[in-house]
Amino acid sequence: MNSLLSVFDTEAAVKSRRDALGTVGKLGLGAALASVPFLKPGVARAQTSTGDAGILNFALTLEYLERSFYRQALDSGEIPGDVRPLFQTIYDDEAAHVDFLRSAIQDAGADPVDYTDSDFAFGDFVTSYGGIAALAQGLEDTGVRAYKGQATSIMTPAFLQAALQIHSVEARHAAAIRRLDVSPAEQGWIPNGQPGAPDAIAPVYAGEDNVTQGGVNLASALSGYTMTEITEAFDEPLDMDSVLAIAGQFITGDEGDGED
Amino acid sequence: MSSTLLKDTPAFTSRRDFFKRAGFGLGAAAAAVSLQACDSDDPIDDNGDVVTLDFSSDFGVLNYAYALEQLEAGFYATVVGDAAFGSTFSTDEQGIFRDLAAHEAIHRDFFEAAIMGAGGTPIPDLTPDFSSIDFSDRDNVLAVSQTFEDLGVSAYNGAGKYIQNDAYLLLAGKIVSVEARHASVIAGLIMDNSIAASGQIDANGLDRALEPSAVLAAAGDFIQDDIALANVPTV
Repeated sequence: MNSLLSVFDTEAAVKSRRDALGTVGKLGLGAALASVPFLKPGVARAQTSTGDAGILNFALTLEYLERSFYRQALDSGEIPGDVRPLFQTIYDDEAAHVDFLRSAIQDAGADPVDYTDSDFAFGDFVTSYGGIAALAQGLEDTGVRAYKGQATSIMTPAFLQAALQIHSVEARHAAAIRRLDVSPAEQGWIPNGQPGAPDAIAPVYAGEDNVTQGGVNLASALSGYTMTEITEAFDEPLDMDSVLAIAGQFITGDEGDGED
Repeated sequence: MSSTLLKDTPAFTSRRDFFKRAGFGLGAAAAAVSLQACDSDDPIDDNGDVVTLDFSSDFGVLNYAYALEQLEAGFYATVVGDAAFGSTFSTDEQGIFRDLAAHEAIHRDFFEAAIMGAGGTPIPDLTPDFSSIDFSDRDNVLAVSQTFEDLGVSAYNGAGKYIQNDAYLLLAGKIVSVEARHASVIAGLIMDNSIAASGQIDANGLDRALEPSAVLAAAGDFIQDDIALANVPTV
């Protein structure tokens, strides 16, 4: 994973967003935000843009992966007609995320990573509807965790908001996929550590059974709720290394080589 | 993650909290009854409270989330407590609404505890106004559910940038994606293959983000109390 990690400028994310907010607070948050317009070229960047761009490139890689997966899934002919519109909607969203993040990274003064759809291979996951649904669930739930895991490291408020806006769309995708008849899951939300998940996507759910929020064990502190309900009510983050370990299984081409 | 955020848990020993949880211990029907008792014809609480959310600290943002979770929890408690619940919705839909009622009540209780545990003051229990909703009408309940869930997602998406403490931001992130899952499932019940109300996701594939003023204007139709905002930074 080191080679994959090296694509992202993670070390640049050194200052916490809280510190950044604290700094701009002296100027007035409104004025500071206004000085960092989002997606408008030709304006001076905050010094923090390099760190944010690294995170956005991490996100972009996941979006390339998802876009490729849904294109290959739609091309497979395995998706039944009655649910094809859902998969088409999700594909369109992922493709839009790729375009949006590329623009955002360029506006942050950095270079977006380059992958093509052919840089990803999904093996048996795209040869049957069941396989497609299983990996779709795994990738969407991973995406939710990935964005969540990076949110606190994003320093530019506008980038944070955009990441949150993508994050919740991934969660919408995940829930819809999880509701499909052939999905390994039975509901839109994640109970405990997703018992019964196929081995191939089980690592996606590591730690989802957490019941300690804000330092308090809610299973013992709250009464009237089941453990399952408590775990369902909170989605958990996943760190970048763990996400890349999952995503890396499907990356077969080289970034930035301009080849399929 | 911070282990000190709620290192002390006075919230769970407060009398106020005891009453709230005791009410839920009696089940959804009891919660629904208590909501009805607070309805607009209640002479004791006719005009509701006046609540100010001061965004100059994270407590204002947390109370903003707490207000929305109170609204959602109250709504779903009334949905599942309605006498016609079992005949209005399919078995699948009943299971979904019970889950939503539990999740939102957990979010509500969590925020109250988090605010108190961190030394803040939670806003009072809000008084909902669900008089415009026909709880025995499936389409009506689904439509309002979609409104609340999409509004919740939009609210969290718009408020994240105002949260200064990383631990709180992460907690908001843990909750907003669950709201988005709810929103998607409800959308799918309303229309096959749908994941959101029309216009909720833009051409860039971004979910809506709304500023607190817009959120409260929309939520205000369902809350008797007056909720004011203070010191919200202008973007």
